[in-house]
Amino acid sequence: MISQKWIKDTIERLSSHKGVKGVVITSAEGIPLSSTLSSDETEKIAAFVTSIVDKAKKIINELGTGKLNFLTVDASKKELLIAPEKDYILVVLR
Amino acid sequence: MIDVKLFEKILSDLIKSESGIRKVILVDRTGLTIAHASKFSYYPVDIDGIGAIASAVFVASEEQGKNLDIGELMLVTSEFEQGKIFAASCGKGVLCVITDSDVNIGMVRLLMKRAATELEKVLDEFLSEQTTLPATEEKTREKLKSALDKLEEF
Amino acid sequence: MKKDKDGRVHFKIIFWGPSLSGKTTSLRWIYSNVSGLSKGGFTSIEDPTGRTLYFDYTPLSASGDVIFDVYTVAGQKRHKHQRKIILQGVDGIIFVADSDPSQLDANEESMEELKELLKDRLGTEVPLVIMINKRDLPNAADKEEILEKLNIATMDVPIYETIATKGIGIKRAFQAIAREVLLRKLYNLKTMT
Ligand SMILES: Nc1nc2c(ncn2[C@@H]2O[C@H](COP(=O)(O)OP(=O)(O)OP(=O)(O)O)[C@@H](O)[C@H]2O)c(=O)[nH]1
Ligand SMILES: [Mg+2]
Repeated sequence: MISQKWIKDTIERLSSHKGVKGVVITSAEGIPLSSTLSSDETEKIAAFVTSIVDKAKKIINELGTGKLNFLTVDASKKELLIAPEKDYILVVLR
Repeated sequence: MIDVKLFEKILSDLIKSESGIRKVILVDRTGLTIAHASKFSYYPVDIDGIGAIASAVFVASEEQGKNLDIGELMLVTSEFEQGKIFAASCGKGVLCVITDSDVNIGMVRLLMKRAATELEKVLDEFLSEQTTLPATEEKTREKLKSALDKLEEF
Repeated sequence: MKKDKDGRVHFKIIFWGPSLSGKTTSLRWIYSNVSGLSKGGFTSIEDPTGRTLYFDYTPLSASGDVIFDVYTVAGQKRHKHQRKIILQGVDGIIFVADSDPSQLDANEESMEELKELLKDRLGTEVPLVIMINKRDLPNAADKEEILEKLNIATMDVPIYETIATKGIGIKRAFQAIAREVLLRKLYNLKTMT
């Protein structure tokens, strides 16, 4: 289960990794739970990442390829690593 | 003269940009429905009545915030078994969005914030025109006169 | 007065008065019995006993492009905040006084509150029509006594004796406020009464 402590530890652990530019944890409904970024940026990431996770889940469901484990969005400036869990989504910017 | 199509465009852009949004209503703070857009109009709903409640509920929350001295009201969310209602301030108006229950809340908020900024400007212009329009405008006078004649008939 | 995006002109008319004086009964009667008016839905926010908790609302129109958005307020004292909110943007008031002798002070208090909220706009910029309701009560108070309590002698307002439960006088009172509101906008005048 997600607790304040768990969130804090996770954020700290992940952001200490080399090359990590930011960490966002959002609820499955797109509401930011915690973040190392500005609130504007966090809101945007939470909203759009949740939306892409929803879509990916639908696709996987249609194709019958099991459960969605992980998503990577690779762009020229940054990379988004997205781990969708049951109650929350973990996003790392790299 | 402001193009009222702009209201419709902003509202329909909003409704199209997230699949969970069913209905969008723009009201003023006196209960008047200014514009609205719906995704499914299979069943008829009483938009003016819904708008009147949306405005009254939002303004009542605002009043409550004043009573408790907790600052400006940003957003009201009402969660129901089969849907959600969001209401956000946009200048002199209130933007109200009705969604499915499993909607991406973060996305709805983000989209509402963007639409509200746009609407605020258009609305300000729309409402400020109203103060200059009164009975001096010939078309309005005609409408009022015919309403006056009709009054005696019912 | 306001225009909506389709160019229709809206006026906001409010039934005001103490609790149980017959505001909701009056609006419902108009809604169900007056022909020649096109109507939208009827919206009510009331408590389980049927007393208004926030407001009633229905849009009425005689000519299509002029719409009267008609509200009733919640008369019970503790709903003062709600009344203040509903009063925003008002164009005309129908004050519903109760003829029950025990309600003389309640009528007065309700009118005082209205005067306090609208200040000198009441009866000038915002026209006022009085309904003295429940005239069927066997022990109904004197018309003069009720009016004296309302303290409106300085204002030249139309007064109607009504029985909302039977619809007597209600239509005329509504026509009167609608007329006042329209004339005020058209000619910036008060009608002769
Ligand atoms: N005898 C009599 N009873 C009336 C009349 N008008 C209304 N009533 C009754 O008075 C009671 C209260 O009427 P409402 O219309 O609900 O009163 P209201 O002014 O809306 O009251 P609030 O919502 O509390 O502000 C009801 O039981 C009505 O039937 C009337 O003309 N004569
Ligand atoms: Mg009532």
